[in-house]
Amino acid sequence: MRAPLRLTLLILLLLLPLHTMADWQRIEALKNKVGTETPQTSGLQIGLPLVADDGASVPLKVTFNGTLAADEYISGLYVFASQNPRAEVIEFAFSDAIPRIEVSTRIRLSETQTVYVLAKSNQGNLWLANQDVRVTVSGCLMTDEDGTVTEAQMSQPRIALPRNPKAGEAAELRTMINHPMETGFREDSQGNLIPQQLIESLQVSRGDETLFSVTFNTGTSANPFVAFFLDQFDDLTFTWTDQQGQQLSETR
Amino acid sequence: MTRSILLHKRGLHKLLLATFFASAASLAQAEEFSPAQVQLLAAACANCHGTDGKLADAIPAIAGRPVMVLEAQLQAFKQGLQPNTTVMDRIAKGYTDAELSALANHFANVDKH
Amino acid sequence: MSDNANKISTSRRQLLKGLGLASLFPAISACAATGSSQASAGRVVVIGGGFGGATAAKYIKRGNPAIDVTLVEPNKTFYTCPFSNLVLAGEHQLESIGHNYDELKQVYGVKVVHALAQDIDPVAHRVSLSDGQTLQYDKLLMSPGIDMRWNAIEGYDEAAAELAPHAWKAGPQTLLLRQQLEAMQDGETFIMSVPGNPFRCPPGPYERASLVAHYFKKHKPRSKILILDAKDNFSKQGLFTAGWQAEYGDMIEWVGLSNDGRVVRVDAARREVETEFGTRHQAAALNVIPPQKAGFIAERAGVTDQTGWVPVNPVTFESTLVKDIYVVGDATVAAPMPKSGFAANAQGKVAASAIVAALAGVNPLEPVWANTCYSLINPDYGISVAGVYKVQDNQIIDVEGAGGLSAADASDSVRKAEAAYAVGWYNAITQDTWGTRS
Repeated sequence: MRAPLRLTLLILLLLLPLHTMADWQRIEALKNKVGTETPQTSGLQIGLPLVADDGASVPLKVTFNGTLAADEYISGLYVFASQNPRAEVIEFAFSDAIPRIEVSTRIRLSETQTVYVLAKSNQGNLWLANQDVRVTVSGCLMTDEDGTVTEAQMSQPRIALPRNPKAGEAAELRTMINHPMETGFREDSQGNLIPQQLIESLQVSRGDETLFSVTFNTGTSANPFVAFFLDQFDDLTFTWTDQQGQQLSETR
Repeated sequence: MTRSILLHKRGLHKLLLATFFASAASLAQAEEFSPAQVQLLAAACANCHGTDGKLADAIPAIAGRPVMVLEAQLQAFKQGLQPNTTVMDRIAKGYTDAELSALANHFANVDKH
Repeated sequence: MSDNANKISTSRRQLLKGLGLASLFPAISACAATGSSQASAGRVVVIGGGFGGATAAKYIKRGNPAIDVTLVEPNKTFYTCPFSNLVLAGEHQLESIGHNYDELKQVYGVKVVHALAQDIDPVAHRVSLSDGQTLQYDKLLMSPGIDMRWNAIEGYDEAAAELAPHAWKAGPQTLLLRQQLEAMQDGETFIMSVPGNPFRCPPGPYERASLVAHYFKKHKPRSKILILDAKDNFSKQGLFTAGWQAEYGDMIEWVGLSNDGRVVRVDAARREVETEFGTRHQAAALNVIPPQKAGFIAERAGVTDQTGWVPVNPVTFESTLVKDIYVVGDATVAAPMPKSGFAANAQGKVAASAIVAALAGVNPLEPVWANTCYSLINPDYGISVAGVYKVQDNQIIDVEGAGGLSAADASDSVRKAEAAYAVGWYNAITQDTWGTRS
């Protein structure tokens, strides 16, 4: 009895989009990435809360399960926030060794806005998805309560491998590192701009081969957390590099 | 502070007349509140002051107190003039002067018993 | 229009006067009756007898006593989560936070049915109860609270909650956790697992830690409390942290998300938890507050969205997904209003007013809500956070310049006053909701 009513409402909702996909073209960085291609609209899923109580750390999960041709694999995922001071939030790059395209992280959202995710394959095909998030407390502009600025040094790298990994079976790994990810948009209690200090990237490799890498940005939450999938868990090196060129490496 | 109380007293007369003729069907306008609208505004106060503001406990009752006292007290809270206030200043600042006036008038007219 | 427009009975005139609709007589005709008997002003069923539902039932009756109101609540006594932390601390008995439905029945004429609402047919406007009854409604209001997301934390299911209680619904769970705390040896550790937003009562877990610390300070001074949090910030954090240091030294340790505080697995039998990055902790008493969602009946009614919570019209609290169903309290998406008993009571009144207006065929009124959340660091040390909310551009917003936290540098006498006001608030809100007091 409920189904017909819900279906009607769903159809009505689909007929009245809150905004058109063309809105993404106003984001310069996204528009450039897309170029002259026409992105597909299905196959890419965004997991984001509809309402974020705290814009400083909004959990994001991106999953790709669209159709790929033989020898085609997803080589990159790019996340954009339409209203953030800088639209680029975070980027993921995949080798063909990645068994499942599913990544989780935590991002900053300055206000209620639309988050766009672009997926690109090694053959140049594109997929685009978006979701609106209502933010009740801005993630970007709160000053420190006592005016002190946290030291911008990478520390406490953490890696969690799956508990009973089986070679050949895709399973999730988690990584996290402590760092304030100073955006350069904040002011201290005296009103001075706190200089930008970010971790630039995380690289996961085996020997010479880079399996997976992440490019962070001002829209990445402090203490960057990244979860992703592998199906071989031996001989891994995790390297974080900050804007000063400093590196922190861990092996597993 | 005395001057502002007097000003409010004059404003209160105007407010009372406006309320008397206000239409209940329209949503609240700048200076006019229907009795039903005030009732709804006042409902939030019951959480600490009891239904209809009648409960007398650690938190004082507000029902049936003189309208000038209530209005002056609310304004004192809103303007941060009441020393040793704990939470009422933070709450009073969320209401317009017209709303506070209407609330004072509402609770003054509640039968204490 | 019918002739009845001018023949409204004297009693109806009196009711409408009470509602403040005296000037509207020409606008309300007897045609407002929906197809139920013409003598009734409408039938409302309220599901849930907590802060939201009991308040709504009472205020609908206050708004128009001619409306038929039936309240469905499985418990004959309702135990409040607010002040349940004092029971955990051994300061109060469970009975002191129990409330019955006598006033609602005897003074306001609400019909109370002690059964569980199991299903809703929103098209036929019918509620099915666990005792086999079905109730017909013109308007349905539900305040179903929360349900736990079992297995969102690996190993934490309903059975596990009997070994490692959540005590996030007051009553038997509260006593279970109290027993575990009492059984602890001095020097042992109490561990709390706290979820990410949104969840019921944002400052609640930290008040719990405070009051358990108060109990430990007196009876088990060498014991420790470890809070493993899936968040990096929490409500009133600065005030709690300062209060903990002042009153309890280093007894309470808080580990946030970015320091591997998020619990992902529980072994309830062994009272062991594992966090995101593989760290394991063993507890003598374990309190797991799991991720949550709207009470199950909301899902049955079709009012939940993909997040498991209920989106509502901010002016009336009617569901945006299903007509004639109003939802208030923790189950709703009403941010920035917090999930609190105070907010549920406030929303219950707004929804009650909207229902009375809808049944009378008039427009709803403009809502304003206030919220004050009191937390006790100990029974003489109170802190609070307040907010005033209005509707703007069809969203609920925080009124700028209003609300906020207790002062960071408040004196002992202010802390004591706030603790006393917390008690005053509890007595006022329970009187306003059920007509009872501690």
